[in-house]
Amino acid sequence: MSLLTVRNLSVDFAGFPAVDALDLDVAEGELLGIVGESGSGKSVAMLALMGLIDAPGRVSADAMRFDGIDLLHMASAQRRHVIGKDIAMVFQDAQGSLNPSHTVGDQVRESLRTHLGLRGAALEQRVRALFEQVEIPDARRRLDAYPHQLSGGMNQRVMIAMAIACDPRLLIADEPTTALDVTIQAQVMDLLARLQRERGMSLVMITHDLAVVAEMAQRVAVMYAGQVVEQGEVDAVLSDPRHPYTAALLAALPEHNKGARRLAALPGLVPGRRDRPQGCLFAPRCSHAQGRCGGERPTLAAGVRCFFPLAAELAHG
Amino acid sequence: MAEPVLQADQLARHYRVSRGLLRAQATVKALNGVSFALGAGRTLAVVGESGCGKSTLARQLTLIEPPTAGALCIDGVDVAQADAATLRRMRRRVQMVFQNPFASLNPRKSVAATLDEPLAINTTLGAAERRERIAAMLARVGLRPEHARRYPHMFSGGQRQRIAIARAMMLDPGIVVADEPVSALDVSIQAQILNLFMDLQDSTGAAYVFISHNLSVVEHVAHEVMVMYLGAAVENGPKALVLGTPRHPYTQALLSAVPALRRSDRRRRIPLVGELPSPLELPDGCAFHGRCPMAVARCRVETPALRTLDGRQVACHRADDT
Amino acid sequence: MTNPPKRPPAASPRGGGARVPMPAAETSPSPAGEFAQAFAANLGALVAFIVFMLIALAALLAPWATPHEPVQQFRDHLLQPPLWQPGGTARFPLGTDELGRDILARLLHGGRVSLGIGALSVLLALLPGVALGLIAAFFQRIAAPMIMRLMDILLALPGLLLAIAVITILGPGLVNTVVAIAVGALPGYVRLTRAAALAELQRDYVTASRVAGAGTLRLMLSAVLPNCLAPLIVQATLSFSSAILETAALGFLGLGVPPPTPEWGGMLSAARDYIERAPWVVTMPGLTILVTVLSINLTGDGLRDALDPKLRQAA
Repeated sequence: MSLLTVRNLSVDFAGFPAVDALDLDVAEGELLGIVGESGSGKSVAMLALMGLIDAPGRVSADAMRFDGIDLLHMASAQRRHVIGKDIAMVFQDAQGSLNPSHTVGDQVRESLRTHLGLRGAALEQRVRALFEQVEIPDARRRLDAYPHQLSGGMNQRVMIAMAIACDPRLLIADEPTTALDVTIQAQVMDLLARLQRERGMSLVMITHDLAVVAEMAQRVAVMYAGQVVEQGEVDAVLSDPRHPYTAALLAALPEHNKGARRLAALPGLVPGRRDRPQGCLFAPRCSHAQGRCGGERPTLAAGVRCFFPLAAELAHG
Repeated sequence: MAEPVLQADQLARHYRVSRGLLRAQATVKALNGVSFALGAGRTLAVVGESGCGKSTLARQLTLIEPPTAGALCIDGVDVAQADAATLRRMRRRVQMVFQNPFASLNPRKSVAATLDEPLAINTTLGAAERRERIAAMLARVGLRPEHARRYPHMFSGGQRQRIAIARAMMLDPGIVVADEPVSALDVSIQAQILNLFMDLQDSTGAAYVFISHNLSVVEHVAHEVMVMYLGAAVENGPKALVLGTPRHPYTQALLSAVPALRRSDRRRRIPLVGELPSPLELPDGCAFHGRCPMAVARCRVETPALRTLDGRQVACHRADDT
Repeated sequence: MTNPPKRPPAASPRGGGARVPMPAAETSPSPAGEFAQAFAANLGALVAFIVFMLIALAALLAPWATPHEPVQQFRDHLLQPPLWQPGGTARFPLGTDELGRDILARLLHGGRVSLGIGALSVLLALLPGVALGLIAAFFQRIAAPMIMRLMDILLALPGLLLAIAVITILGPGLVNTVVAIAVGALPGYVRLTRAAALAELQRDYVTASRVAGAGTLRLMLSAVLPNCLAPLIVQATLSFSSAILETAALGFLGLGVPPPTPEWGGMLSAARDYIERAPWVVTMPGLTILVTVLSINLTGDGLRDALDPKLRQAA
């Protein structure tokens, strides 16, 4: 059974559809990667899930179910019991997301106190154990540090500790390693993967980095201009993309242009507020587009949102 | 190679930091002896993580700050020996492209005004001719003439970076220092901008110092690669050698940490223990010894010098064994 | 799986991404144009601005707006009530004061004095203040400590006391009042400019100008100053209103503009004894000061909201 089910999620900001008819399924214990560039709506979709979209944004969906609980029509008091406890989120800019006036220890304690009601010795033990689990060295001393006294990598570990404090069933990580150095990124990625395996937690990893998704995820959803344009098993999608955008994105990577002086760049820009096409959103930039693409919007069928998906490669080496 | 356009010899930059009234001033050794030579039309990629000194290096190369020690030569002329007039001429030869396209353009100046500034300061061209050059440069970076009248906030990140590149190229510099120019851009825009860099290098013969933490971008654009750690170069040489068969333990660890799209490209992860030491208290001996999986007693006391090994330069006592 | 994934058929990478499309029908107003639009959208600020403009206009046209001279005394019409009260006449719409002078005329002419002093004192504080602030920001090691300590000394004295001290040294009078108020306002501008300039100096585009070869003066005026204007403009409007209040206070204390020149604060002071007998003598100048200062402050708020990009909707 699917742990998280989202059907037809749309988030609208004063007429601008940041997320457009999103369908998502996350199974128990699965690692799903959501890939997209700026304007793809990947972060907004997750914030909508967590109930963190304020006016003028409007969230609408046919269904938003977590473990059978209806997230869509939940009262905010009830929602607070679920968010932070069973569903947790880790953000990109760790130092910006932590409160600079409180020690990192206090911030983790707050989560434990609120959701699990821990106090005193039990609380301290749990906090220390958490810090050790996220591989923060010298945990006892670090508990009393303020965010600005710690490095980016350390702060990110603190955020992860806060997120897993109450043993969530689902962890959403929004570009958790983008702001970090390469070696630290590798450590944090390994940490997330290990935690996910050990706890049987589902992990949704939002990133623009296809290589990170390739190494970590089992399934991937590619988003463009607020819609999912392709989804499926990671290996299949990345080696054999069926949507022209996925293919173009992969083709533009330096890894796929080795030896060439120029990269196979995708021309144009993501549609903004004023130039949203009537037909397929990717059609203006698609070298594959035909007549029908300009007039109609394709729906997601068999994991691809395209009237003319690219044919499967016949044989690989 | 022919006379290098840019040459650094043991370039160092130290900052004094006050630590309060009662304690002695400390010295931050942001740059601690960097040497390289760059020829026309070539790209030197500078790779490193936070605190390695690459931003300080960028400020040195663009003549914003004078070096504390060492020599910097542009077209063979030592910067330290240059008089005011020569310095002004040198300024024209080195230009910079910054990382954040949303912060590198003055929001109160139109695109035309931004592109006009270098010409107005450094040349005696008339207004009409400056306008012509601006229009020509806009076309060259893929923008349209009507964009000249607009203001930066109307443009996307990629377009702003094009404007920033246009500004850098207005004086036809021989050397462009690009500080993480595509790091803030999406993959598809990144590809467009990298192509622009390559095209401009091919047509103008400019030399690039390309600072980046993204090793796959580095692999694409660089001719030579210099890996920096805590203010010094630890490995420096042709791209194929440094990235293909790295000999310094740090380079190896760095490359092993890069996520790879294809399973066949993935390397076994070499974990680095410990944390980056503070630049205020650099360890004795090799700056990397605290985290190095191959450190021995000698590394703790003796700072390794750059030596030639296997076609590139390495600063490591144990490089022969890696 | 070693083949690179297939590219979309006939992918055509073009030179540096030529023909980058611009969103259709996008006119780009300059920052000034956008500011005007944002300000006009704020109804309260717009109304306040119009009110202030009317007051300023009335003050400017004072000699033609009223038939009476402000110093002309009508001995048979002492303490005449205003038009709408019993005993009032249309000849003196707002009544007369204790010496029989037409209050409306005195208010209008007094407006020229009060608003004039306000504007001049702002200018006299703004220009040197901005200059000193920029110098302090650019020459951190040499000039900044001296300038800032001087400003600290000025700030250590309460504003009104400082003004009184200056007046005592220079003597009362129109020009000296302007100087006294300006001296008190100066440190605010210096600090504001220095703080804004220091923040600007960190920005990449200022570094870019340096790399392009800009000298200190060009950096100051072309790169840094335009981006510091927002807080300065707001400060200027607000100190305009506090200058009017200070002038009134000085006038009230008898240290400002000497009689018989009309000035709103002086009118208040002279009318102290008549609060019960002839309240309009106090109320009229009091209300005028209130409305003027309020409209200036609301305009200033509107300016700040319009100039601060964070408070506006993102484009």
